[in-house]
Amino acid sequence: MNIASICTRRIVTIDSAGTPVQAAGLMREQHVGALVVVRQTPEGPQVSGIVTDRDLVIGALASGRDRAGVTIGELASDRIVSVSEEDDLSSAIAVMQEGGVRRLLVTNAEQQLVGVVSLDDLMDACAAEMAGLAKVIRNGIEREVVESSNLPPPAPLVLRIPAMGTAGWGNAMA
Amino acid sequence: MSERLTVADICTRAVAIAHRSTPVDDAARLMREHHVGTLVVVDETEAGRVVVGMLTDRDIVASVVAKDLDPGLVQVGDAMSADPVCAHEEDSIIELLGNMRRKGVRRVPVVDLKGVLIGLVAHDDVLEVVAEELRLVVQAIESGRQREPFRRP
Repeated sequence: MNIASICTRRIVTIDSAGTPVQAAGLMREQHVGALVVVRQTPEGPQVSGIVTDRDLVIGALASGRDRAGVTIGELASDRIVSVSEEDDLSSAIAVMQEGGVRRLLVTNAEQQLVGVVSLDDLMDACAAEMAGLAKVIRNGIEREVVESSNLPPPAPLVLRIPAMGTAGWGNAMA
Repeated sequence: MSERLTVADICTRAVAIAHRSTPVDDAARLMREHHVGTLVVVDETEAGRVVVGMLTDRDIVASVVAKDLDPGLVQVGDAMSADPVCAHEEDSIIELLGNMRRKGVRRVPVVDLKGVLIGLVAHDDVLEVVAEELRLVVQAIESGRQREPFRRP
């Protein structure tokens, strides 16, 4: 299972010059907890970071007059932690661990942003794999039950189990 | 799960709380200080702290930041989600997971019979327990594999 198959392709962006109010509105309308922050450069728009609902709460703590002037660029974390869409689950988990983050940007072979993958997405994928494993075991048991039901029933046997602490069969039979 | 773990066994007991009358900017400061994204909102009663709501960073974004309100003038009671889904301390992990899935929540306050706050349990806490159980299963398989050559040389 690679990241391409589990990541979210819907990316909601905001310009780094945007305001917390705009960001909060986008998060609410689009039902996302994080926005990709984009900066305009002469070469075209470029990813400059990620801003989460948590960053906005911290921004809201600024006093009244300062709050009016705060831009998303100032609140966003500018550390970009990413994985390739070709990477697998375990390498994405390792990257999250190293980066101490719960969300990764996903890039394609041309280093373009194609999606976001969150810790929850990875957990879902792991759970799906475990469920698949459990199904393999269950199917195996079911097949065995079906196959053995075609056999003739075994002749009844009378077996005795030696009592605990006795010397064994000789005593038990006596 | 072995020896029937209950919610009380795995929940976090140190919980950051707020009151309905707490200003939202104080609540946000609490979140920052304690490095949490959720506060349990309680009423102080004779029985103890009774859970009345939950306030997440997301609630603050939606009800205060998006409306460009002054967080010092909004009270937690007006921004919180009231009547939250709670887990009972004696609930099993399976019951907890079923509850979380049905209600679509990831973090629930744990209460006693009177609704008094005991702790907070998140799906991360459950994952830790499950991961530990899985590790034990893997260990059992491994040790079986290691014993095989001795039993059947």
